[in-house]
Amino acid sequence: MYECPNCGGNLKFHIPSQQMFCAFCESKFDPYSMKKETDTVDGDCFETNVFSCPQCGGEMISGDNDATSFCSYCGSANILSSRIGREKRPKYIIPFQVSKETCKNAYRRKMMKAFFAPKELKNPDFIDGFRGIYMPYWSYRISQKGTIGFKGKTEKRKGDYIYTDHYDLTGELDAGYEGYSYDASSTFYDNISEALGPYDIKERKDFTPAFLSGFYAETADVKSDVYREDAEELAVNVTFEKVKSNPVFRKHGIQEGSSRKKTAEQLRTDCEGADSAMFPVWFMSYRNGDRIAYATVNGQTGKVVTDMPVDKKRFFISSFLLAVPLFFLLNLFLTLRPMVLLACSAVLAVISAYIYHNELTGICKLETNEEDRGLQMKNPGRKKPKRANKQSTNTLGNTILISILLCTIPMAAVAAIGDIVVWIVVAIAMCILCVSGFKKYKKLESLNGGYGFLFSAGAVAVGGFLRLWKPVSDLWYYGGVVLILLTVVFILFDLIRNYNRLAMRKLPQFDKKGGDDNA
Amino acid sequence: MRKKRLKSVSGITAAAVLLFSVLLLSLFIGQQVWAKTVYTNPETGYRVVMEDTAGLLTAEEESMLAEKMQAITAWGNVAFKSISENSTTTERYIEDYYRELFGWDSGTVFLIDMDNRNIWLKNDGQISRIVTNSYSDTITDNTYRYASRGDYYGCAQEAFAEIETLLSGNRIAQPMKYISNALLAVILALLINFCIMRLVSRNRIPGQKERLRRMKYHYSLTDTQAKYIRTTKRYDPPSSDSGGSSGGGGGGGGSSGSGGGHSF
Repeated sequence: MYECPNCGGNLKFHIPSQQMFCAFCESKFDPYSMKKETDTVDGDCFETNVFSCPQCGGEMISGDNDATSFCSYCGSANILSSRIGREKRPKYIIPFQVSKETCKNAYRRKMMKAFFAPKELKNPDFIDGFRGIYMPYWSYRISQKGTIGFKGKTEKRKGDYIYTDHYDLTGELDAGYEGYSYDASSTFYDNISEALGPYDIKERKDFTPAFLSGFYAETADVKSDVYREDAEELAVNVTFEKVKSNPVFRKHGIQEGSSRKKTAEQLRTDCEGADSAMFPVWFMSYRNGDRIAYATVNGQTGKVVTDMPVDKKRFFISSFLLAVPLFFLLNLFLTLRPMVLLACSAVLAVISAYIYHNELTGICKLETNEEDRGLQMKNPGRKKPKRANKQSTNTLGNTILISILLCTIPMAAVAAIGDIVVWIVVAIAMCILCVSGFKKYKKLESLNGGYGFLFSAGAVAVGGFLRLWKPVSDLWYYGGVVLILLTVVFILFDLIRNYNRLAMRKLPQFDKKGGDDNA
Repeated sequence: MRKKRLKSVSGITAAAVLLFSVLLLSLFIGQQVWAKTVYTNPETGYRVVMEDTAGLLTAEEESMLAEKMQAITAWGNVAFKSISENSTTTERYIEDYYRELFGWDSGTVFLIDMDNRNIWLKNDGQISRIVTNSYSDTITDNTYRYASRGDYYGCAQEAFAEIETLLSGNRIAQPMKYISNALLAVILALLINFCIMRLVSRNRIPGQKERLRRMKYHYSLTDTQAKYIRTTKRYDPPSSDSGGSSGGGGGGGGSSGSGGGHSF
């Protein structure tokens, strides 16, 4: 606790003024002028209160002595135990610039658009639970300096021959990147921290413990070399794009290295080091049974990143409401014979099975923390994680594109190539999805995602049988369509159930001292 | 002289025989077509044709049906046809039958194909602009149950009544359309809503440009040089493919107008 030199009150960091502020005498002080004897224990460390959650083992530090009443990570309402600890002093800090009120407003705005979210997430009492936490980050310094050399070639045709001129391209490069940051806490999920960024590194300040007053801080437990390659890759990508656009190099057809590593070498890429830093995050957790969702707001920019669980009831009600205008829209231009309708439904069943397959892949990765490098580092036995953001974006992109496009394709396909060909394509696609999906996801008991494939394949098989049988009565075809509709409902229901696993995480167990593994 | 007279007499006889033959043939053919026509609208010249080859209707039913069909002659020709044998598809048969009967004139034909167990509607001209493919499907869907029950008169009568309703500018019941669209709308709504849900609940990952804007960086590349090393050549004759288009597929040709059918 920092005492006010004027009245002895508790000084806390005041966001609007960016000063230390005394709530009793309203005095303000420069944070760098505030020194406690414990601030510099042995140069590299500072003394602080360490709060541990008895349930999940998560640890937070704070300059304040007040015992905190709940854990931000697992949502546990237990009083956290505290102890005095020494923490490594980070080099930089970006102080909070977004107040709690602004953070809450930003979150409210986001939740206003979140029609599918459970109403508990919009509850004002719940929103009040935002807590200011400084998250540890690694901020990388990459330099690319020296003489660079690339091969170049240009081609021209003369008669039956192509002539290739080869060049050696050289230049003096001086490039440097500072501030490519990755979270250094295994408790902070990579996909949240990545989406929450970037922080403006130009506004960073030298660290002094006074900035922590009034806030919590997470401790760094991920080594800096975990994200080093990512930082280097960014520098290589950016620099090579610029080098490529150099008039001399462009004219002589500069060629990229045979691999990304080779290009990095050619650009004299060197990671000079990683500075430890603390970046501000407004943090809140929402616990539901054995799952937990996080809501975070960037304490510098106000960007909101939340896990967004879906209320199934809201989803299905809104779907049926959406069906009403769609029904009137279809009536404007579409009259389908029952047999054609059955073929269209079968195509839609395949689409839903494809979405199911795609989404389960994403859910599976999150469930196993396959893409979280920080967590993987803590569990070195697992396979090396891949970069998460590109994959998840593609999956989402695929889902949306495929859904929108293919929703219009069934009618076009049936009209253009005839329903028999459509049925053959549907049968092949469904077989592939069924074999691949059931085999892959049946193993994961927590997902229990295999049955959706079986049901949709079964419904499509019934539809195919009806097509071959060609009963006279329309009712048979409508029955087939209703069966397919039910499987689509089942698939989406199961997907949302599993999606909530994607949106809500397993209760964390940080394997820190004090954690309860059986909780 | 006598020979000459004989020659002229035989020539006249031959011409007369030929003329008689042609007249007889044309009368026969005319009778074939004309025999089906049971009514001709004096104002429009459009005909009602009744040809119950399969013998599905009684004489009284034929007469009643023909009477109902007369109203349609205000817009075009109208025919009822039933067959008990068909070596081709119902659609192909009705297409040929229509052309043979009415050519490219405005009209509608309702066919009951007992061989393939199908009912089919074929329209052209002014009628096809109102009784579209969708309506043809709807009408046959509304009436196939009569045929399933063996009530062929009821089936045809209802079909022509619905055609007349449409031609008069009124509406017909379209349960098939509404049921189909309702089911399709629900499936589509579920899938679209799922996509919307995923779209609104995703967290955007910042791109490279956004990251760079908030980082400190500098870049300079000086003293760039390109040193010529060597020239290589490889044999690569220009493709003999002229690159022209392969030509489009032919037009569909075939049927015009509208139509639709249903099994029974």
